[in-house]
Parts: sequence; C-alpha cells; structure tokens
Amino acid sequence: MSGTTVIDRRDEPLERKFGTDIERFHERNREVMRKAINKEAGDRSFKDIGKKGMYVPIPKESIQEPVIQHAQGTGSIRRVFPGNKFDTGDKIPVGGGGGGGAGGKEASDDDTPGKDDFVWVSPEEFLDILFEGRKLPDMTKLRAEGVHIKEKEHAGFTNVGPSHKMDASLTEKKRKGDEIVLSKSSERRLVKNLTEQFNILAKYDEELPVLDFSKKSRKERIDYASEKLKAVQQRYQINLETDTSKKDNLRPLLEEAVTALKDRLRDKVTDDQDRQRIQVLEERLPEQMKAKEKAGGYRRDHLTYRYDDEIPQPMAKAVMFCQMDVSFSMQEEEKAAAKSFYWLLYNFLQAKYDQTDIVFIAHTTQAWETDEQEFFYGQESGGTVVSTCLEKTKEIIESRYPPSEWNIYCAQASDGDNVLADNALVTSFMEELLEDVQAFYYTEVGRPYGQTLLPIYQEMAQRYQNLHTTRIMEPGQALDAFKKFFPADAAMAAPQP
Amino acid sequence: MTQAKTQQTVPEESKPYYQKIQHLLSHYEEGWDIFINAGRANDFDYPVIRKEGYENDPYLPDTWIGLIDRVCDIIATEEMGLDVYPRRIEIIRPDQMLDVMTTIGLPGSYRHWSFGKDRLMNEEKYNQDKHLAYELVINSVPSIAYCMETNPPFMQALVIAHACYGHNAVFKNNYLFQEFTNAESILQDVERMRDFVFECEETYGRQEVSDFLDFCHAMRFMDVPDTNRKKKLSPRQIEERAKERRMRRHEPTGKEESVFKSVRAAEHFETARIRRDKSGHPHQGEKNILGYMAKHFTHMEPWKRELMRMRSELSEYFKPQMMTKVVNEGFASYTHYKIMSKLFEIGLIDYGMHQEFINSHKGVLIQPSSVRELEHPQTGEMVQVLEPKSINPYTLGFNILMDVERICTEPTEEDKEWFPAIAGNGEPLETVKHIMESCSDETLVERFLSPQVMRDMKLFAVESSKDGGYVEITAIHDDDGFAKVRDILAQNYNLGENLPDVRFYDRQEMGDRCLILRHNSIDGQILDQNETQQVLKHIHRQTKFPVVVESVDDKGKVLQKISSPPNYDYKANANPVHENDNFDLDDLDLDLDGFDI
Repeated sequence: MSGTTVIDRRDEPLERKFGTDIERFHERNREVMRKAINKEAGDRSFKDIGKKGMYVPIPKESIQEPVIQHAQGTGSIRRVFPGNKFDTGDKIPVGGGGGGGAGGKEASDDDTPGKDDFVWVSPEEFLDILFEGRKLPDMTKLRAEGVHIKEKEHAGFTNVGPSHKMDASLTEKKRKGDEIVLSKSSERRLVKNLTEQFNILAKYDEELPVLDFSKKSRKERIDYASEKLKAVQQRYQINLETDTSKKDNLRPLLEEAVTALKDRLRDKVTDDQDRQRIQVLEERLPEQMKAKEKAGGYRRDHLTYRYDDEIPQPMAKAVMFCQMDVSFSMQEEEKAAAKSFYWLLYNFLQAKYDQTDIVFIAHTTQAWETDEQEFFYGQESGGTVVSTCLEKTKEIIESRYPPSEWNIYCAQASDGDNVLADNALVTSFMEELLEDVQAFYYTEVGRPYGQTLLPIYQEMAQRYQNLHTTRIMEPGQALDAFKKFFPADAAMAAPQP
Repeated sequence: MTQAKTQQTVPEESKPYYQKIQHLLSHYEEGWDIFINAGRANDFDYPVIRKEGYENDPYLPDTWIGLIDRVCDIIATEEMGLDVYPRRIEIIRPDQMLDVMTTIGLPGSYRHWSFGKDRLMNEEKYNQDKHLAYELVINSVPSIAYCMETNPPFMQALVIAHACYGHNAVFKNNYLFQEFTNAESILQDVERMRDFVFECEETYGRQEVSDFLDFCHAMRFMDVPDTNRKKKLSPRQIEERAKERRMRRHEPTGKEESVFKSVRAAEHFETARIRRDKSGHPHQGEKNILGYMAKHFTHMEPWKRELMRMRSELSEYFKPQMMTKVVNEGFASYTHYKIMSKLFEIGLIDYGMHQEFINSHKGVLIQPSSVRELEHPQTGEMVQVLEPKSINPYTLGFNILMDVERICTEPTEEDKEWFPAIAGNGEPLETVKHIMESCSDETLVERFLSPQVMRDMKLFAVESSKDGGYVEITAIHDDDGFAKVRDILAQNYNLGENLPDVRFYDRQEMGDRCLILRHNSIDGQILDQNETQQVLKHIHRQTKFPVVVESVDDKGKVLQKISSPPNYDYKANANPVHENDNFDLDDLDLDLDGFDI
C-alpha cells in the first residue's frame, strides 16, 4: 500500500473563507486607491470603465516592512563567488551595483524614500473600489422579455449529428492521433511475438542467430535484423526481402523468415514447453494483426459534428441621449459623477438592447451635438439655458430616431443652474419630450445651492411616470442613484421596450 | 562474452524494484509503454486503463500521476532506500499556485496585508513572463507537493521525484528538521493561528490586529531560539494546550493580578535583585526575543502574547529551511537525477522525454559567472569586473553530492588525501544519504566541498576593501586556495554571518523597564540605521517601554547605539523612580515567571 494521495484541485475555486490578503492590502491603502481610481474614472472614456485595470501608485511608507539587518558596505566582507578568471592577489573593480560585494542582494535595492510602488488593480477591483464595494446590479437578468427572433450560432462540437455537419478535419485529426499511438504499439507487439517464435525455433538449429531488439532505434533494428537473417537466407536458400531502406519492412521480413523456418524446423521442436509456447504465439498472431489493421480505422468517438445552438435575439434598438451643461459652473468632479452614472445606464441599455446609440448634447446658452471627448472635457463660457438642450434633443429625435422604431432614453446631468426666465420654456419642452421617451433620468450633481431645476422636475415627476430625478455628490453615489431608478424588483420598474 | 559481463553486475531485470514495477504495470493495458505514450500525447491526464478484473482495485492507481508516483516510490524506497513521510500530491492551476506561494509557503495561513502585497507582485510578475515555480513542497505529514497543471508529463515525473522523494527525505531525516520542526502538527498549528487571528480580528478589529502582526513581522530573525530543547508534543497535546490558552484570553491581565501577588512578589523581587546583581540578567544571551516577550511581558494583553508565541513557533519551523538550502536542493536534485535516469535506463521513458528532462535539469542547475567583461567608460578597453552573483544552491549541492559519489567509487590521490574517511569506501549512496541526514549548509561545505567541485565551479574568495569600489581576490581554486575558499564559503552559509546576531541583554525591571538588546558585530559590521529604527519603533509602540540596541564588537566596545525614542539614555533610568524601599509594587509589572525562584 502506497503512502501517496493524489488530489486534483484544478476545478476547485480559490479558498476565500477568511477573506483575502489582497482585500486587506486594499483596505490598508483604501484612501490612496480610492482617490486614484476616482480620478482615473473621471479621466477615461466611460465606455472603457470596467474594461481596463490600472496601476495605482502606493507610497512606499505605507507598505514598508522593516526588519533588522546589516547596513550595507560596513565592515570588511569576505565572500565566495563562482566563475573565476583571476589569480590570488588581484584587485578588481565591482560592477553591477552590488556595493561591497554583498552577494544575494544584487537585486536593485533602491531605498530612496518617497519613491512609490505601483499596484495593479484589475477591472473588477476597479469597479469595486469606484463604487466602494456596493454590489453592481445584475444587468443580464434584466434581459428583454419580448423575444422575437432566434438565430443559430456555433456552440461547440458533439459526437452525434447529421452527416452534413461532420467536421472532417477534426475527425481525421482524432483518428490520426489514435492511429499513431495504436499502430506503433501493435506493431511492437507483433515484432515481439515474431522474435520470440524465431528465437524458439533458433534453439533447434545451432547455426541460427538469436535476435535481441532491446535498446535499438527503429533504424538500427531493421539493419540488425537483415544482417542476422542473412544466415537464415544462406542456410535455407530462402529469398528474403532485406531492403533496409524502409523501416516498416521489419515485420514482413520477420514474418517471412519465421514462416520459412517453421516449414523446415517445426518437426524438430522436441521440447513440449517450446511447442506449446509457439502454439500460443501463433494463436495470438491473427488477433494482433487484426489490431494492427484496425488501428487506422474510424471509431465512433472519432466522429465529430458541429453543433449549433439556437440563441434568442431581442431585436430592439435604443438610443441614449446624454445631456449635460458644459458651462463653467460644472467642475471636473461633478462631471466625473455624471460620467459614472452614464456608464451604468449605458451598460444597462447594452445588456437590454442589441443596438444602442449614444448622442451627446452639450449646452450653455445654446445646444449642439458633440462627441464624448468634448462632452466631458470641453469648457465653454457663458450662462445656462436648459431649454435649448431639450429643443435640440427633440429636433434630433424627429430627424433620426422616430419613436415608433427606437426606445429613447434621456439622461440629463446638470448642477441645476438655469436662467430663471427659461424655466417656463423648460416645462413645456419637457412635457412634449416625455410623451416620446421611454424614460428621462435627471441627475443633479454637486451640492445644492440657490434655486435649481430639481424642484421643477420633481413636481413634474408626479405627473409623469417616466421622469426620474435624483442628486449625487460624488462618483461613488452614482450607483445609489442608479439603484433608485432601477429597484431590485426590476420587472416592475424597468421600462418596457 | 556479453553474458559473462552481465553476470558480474546484477542485471536490472532481476532486482526486486524492477520486478515490483513489472508486477505493477502488468495490471495495465498499455503496460511498460504507458509513460512513453503519455509523453507522446503530452498529457498527464492520459487514461490509465486497468486490465479486466482489476478495474476497481483500490490498490492500483487510477490516474497517470498516481502511477508515475508509484513507480518513483518503488525506485526511491526499494532501490535507493530513502525513508520518507507519506505524500499528498495536489494538481493546481496557476492562480492557486500564486495563492500558495504568497502565504508564507504554508496552506491555510492567516491573512495579512503584506501577503496581499506579495501576491499582487507575484501576480504581476506572472502576467509579464508567464512563469511560475513547477512545484512547491511543504514539510508536513503528509508532505504536500503542489504540482502545476501546466507541467508536461516528463516534468510531472521530475517534480514528483524532486519534491515527494528528494525534499521529503531531507525533511524526515535531516537532524535540523528533526530538532526544530514538528511536521506532524504544522498544518494544524497554522490553521489554528489563522482561526485565532480571524477571531481576534472580529473581537478587536482588523486594524488593531493588523498593526500587531506588523510588529510580529518586524521581529523576524529575532524570534528563533539557538537550539530547541523543547519536548515534542503530539498533535493532540498541542491541541489541548492551545484550547487552554484560548480560554485564558479573556482573563484579567498580569497587571491586575499583581495586586494579589504583591506580598509574595516583594520577597521574590528581593531574591531576584540579589541574584542578578551578581551575574547579569538570567535571560542574557536569549536569541528568541519575541518568545521572551510573549512569556514575560505580562502587561500585554493575553491575545497579543499568544500571537507572539505562535509567530515565534512559526519562525522556528522555517529556520531549518534557511539553514539547509544547499543540502535540501542538492539532495532533491540528486534524487530526481537518479530516479529519472533509472526510468530511462529501464525503458519506462523514451529518449525524447529523457532529453527534455536533461534540458530542464541543466536549466535548473545553471550557474551564472560573477565575472563580467565590460567596456571601460573612458578608455574603451575591456575590463573584467566582479558582478556579484550568488551561488545557485541547486548547482552547489548537486555538484558536491555527485562528487562525493565519485570519491566513494573512483577516488584520485587528491581525494584520498582530502577525504580519507570516505574515499573509495564503495558505498556512494549510503554516504550521500548520511551526509544529507547530518549536515547543514555550513557543515556540508566545510566537510565535503572537494577541490574538484571548486575547480569545476571556479570558486574564488574576495575581500572587500575599505576604499570601496575594489575587492581583493584572497584565494582561488588552486592548491594554496582550496582550504581558504572552502572555509570562507562555509562561513558565508553560517546564518549569523548574513543576519545580524541580536540577543537579549538586559531589562531594567527596577527602573523604566527599558529593553536592552545587543548586536554582536562581526568584522565591524553595524546595523542599518533606518530599518532598525523602524523595528524599534514597532517594539516601543507595542510594549509601551523604551528599547535600545547596541552593536558591540568582540572586545566589548560599543560601535553603534540605536534606540526608541531616539537618543534615549537608558542608564539614567536604570533605577527605581521612587528611591526608597517602599516603592509601589503595583506600579511594576513583575514578570515573575522570569526568575527561577
């Protein structure tokens, strides 16, 4: 009984019962990492959030692990090194920064204080820290109910299927693999069998050589066999095919020799044991030949068929209007907060619809369509007239996104600042817009001050089911806002496409 | 004629190990070819089909890994006569390997941010070069060997021979491991520590526990005793003791106890004072400072003292591994070399697999030279400079052991002169095994580094000079230098040479209870000011008492003094604050256990 157990842990998940060390490391450097990640979230395109990780610089002081040790280069040091090229008494310079010849410490030991170490943060950890451990809503669960079309998609291989789906190259590959292994081993068995027969017969004729193929390569074997079998040829005047150029000839050659010998020597085999043995080997031969012949054949498990699965396709299109005030009153942090929200909404829509368009509308005292870069980083001077933005949205909807075909979502972010006289116009435009759109999300960012849009929208939200409003202060709160818009019972609140 | 020759040396076929392997493999469909076939299929999940009638025999391995292990087992125990612990082979993914590498090399270790840092760095390194250790082995019972799923079949055979039989034999038989480690209970010990840390985190908060563990980690190299005379306990006894300690965790601290003990304490205190006035502190020279604190700093909370004790025991477990790197890797390489060669000799692996093995064996034993030719920045001439490269323990250990084998069988005149005891004794394997059992790195080099190995590896000794930038070659691999090179290399492997030898010196129990440590300086080496200061800060913060470390040379001259708080004059605070006989005993936390009364 052996004292070894083998455990295959390849399918097991990592042990996380007591939390992870990485988690504790993050916890220790939470503040530094949170700052770096919020900044990064503000800087990058919101479509990239959650797709790329990043390097976060960590100040050396906070991850230092002091330990008692010798000061480098003090005292005289005697050491032994390999690879000598000198003679006793030589004085040689030291290269490679291993000051004082302290071997084993040649790794760059730059202890300059203040130099930062960088830690890699994976996309998942990035989101985790950005949203401060709040659980992201499971967007795939919200997948559309109205399924219209099913498409066939390649989804792997099976061993049974209709003949037109057979993958010939894969099937052949499997067969070939088996053939290589099986034919070699069966060939070896045949040669072994024949050699043994030959050797038994050779016992009864002293002039015949004994064959021993062990520890010879294939080439050596055939040379060796033809060399040895020459004796047989001469003695019995048999014409053997001793062409040594083909390595595969070994078995036919042996076969011929053994058959010839048997004809002449069979009666001379006197020992009972030998005779029985030959009989056993002879009986085994056809079986082994059969195995050899079958080695190249197709077997049931070689056959490989392509397998196509039916995938439901929700055929629906959505457009998302991002509307934002780009006047000076919106600061970087406020934009980053808005961006986090847009990211969530965008991902949600992407999970729900097979085509999602995005339209960016920036506005100051007038509104224009723009790209993401300018949308988040452009800084225009001037006041704020919100109604222009709504008007522009309406224009675009009429020209490009007819509500009968498109699911329209609007997400407006603003610090709530607006020219007082414009508020009446805003209300009327909003009323028109709300007729056409699936949902309108208004997020007010930053701290409240003065008179803002929020109360106006809130008042309107009581009349219109599809208008949602909230306030967020920093990126971390975007998820709370999102969750407020899409409560856990998603079927109830999620807008119907 | 060939027959006559084979009769002289016993043919492999008639040796018991060969017959055992033959018997084992006769139960499998593919028999002798099974390893070669798996090698060609490049798949260690290769199906091992047992013959009819044996399909469900629990004594026959049902995986390829199990089968190759069994064959290695037969060769290692039957043919080489190794004595090993039971084994557990775990096949793991790269991310699992990263986890195993991260925690101090023990499965089920406690959680700490510093391990998280290591893990992140390992992971990043892995993402860059996609290279990880092929295996990792734990000194425990059963000995756990982690094998990577990415290893090809020949590599699995190699790592099993290397880890499960090579390292394992060292773990079980080397005297240092026998003295310092308790392989039977280490896994439970580690898990107990993890559970305890987790429990403390829940009770006292993660921050508090993490800070305290920082302190314990800072005490590395000051937490292991010189020798271990402790009685080995069975896992069951250890379990019981741990339970007892755990119960005590919420009991009152020593500070409160001292009220009740004050009468007796006064007497003891006097006796102790008289005794120590004569001959220093009774614990002078103690190397396990963390252990000393755990035992005698009764004013600290019991859970902290328990953690210190656990941490100290853990370090003790690692001490032999630090002292036997060369012996360990050398013997493991020797074992895998022997086993793999045997597999090839008896035709269990084919030429291709053997060639792959030789390649990776060479790769492991690579020894970069410490001398490099550089272009002189000014003159443009080629100059040879010393580029310190540490000696590869695999190479050194393997070379020494292989050479011992040669000395035992075919000694030269030189060998007879150097190694009269073993030269030509005709028992190479027994000699190598004996060396593995009885040597640390230092003694291995001191006793068995032969001139031949020094020549092969071109070893040379240097001495750094005070003027810096230059080193002097003091000895090379020639007749005059052999003994010197050997002695210096042996010294290099003496742990004290590389790690500062810091010991307990005194504790001013009568005064401010300042802890005084002494660093015994060799060749005028002093301590790293910055790092040491940080360590002392940790001690000061956790123990609440000042701490001083002095570097002293062999004549007793103080070379350096580092303290926390900085520039602290402990001698001024050596005496009781109240200079009268009625000083308040309750003010003092007497460590009564400390004195043998």
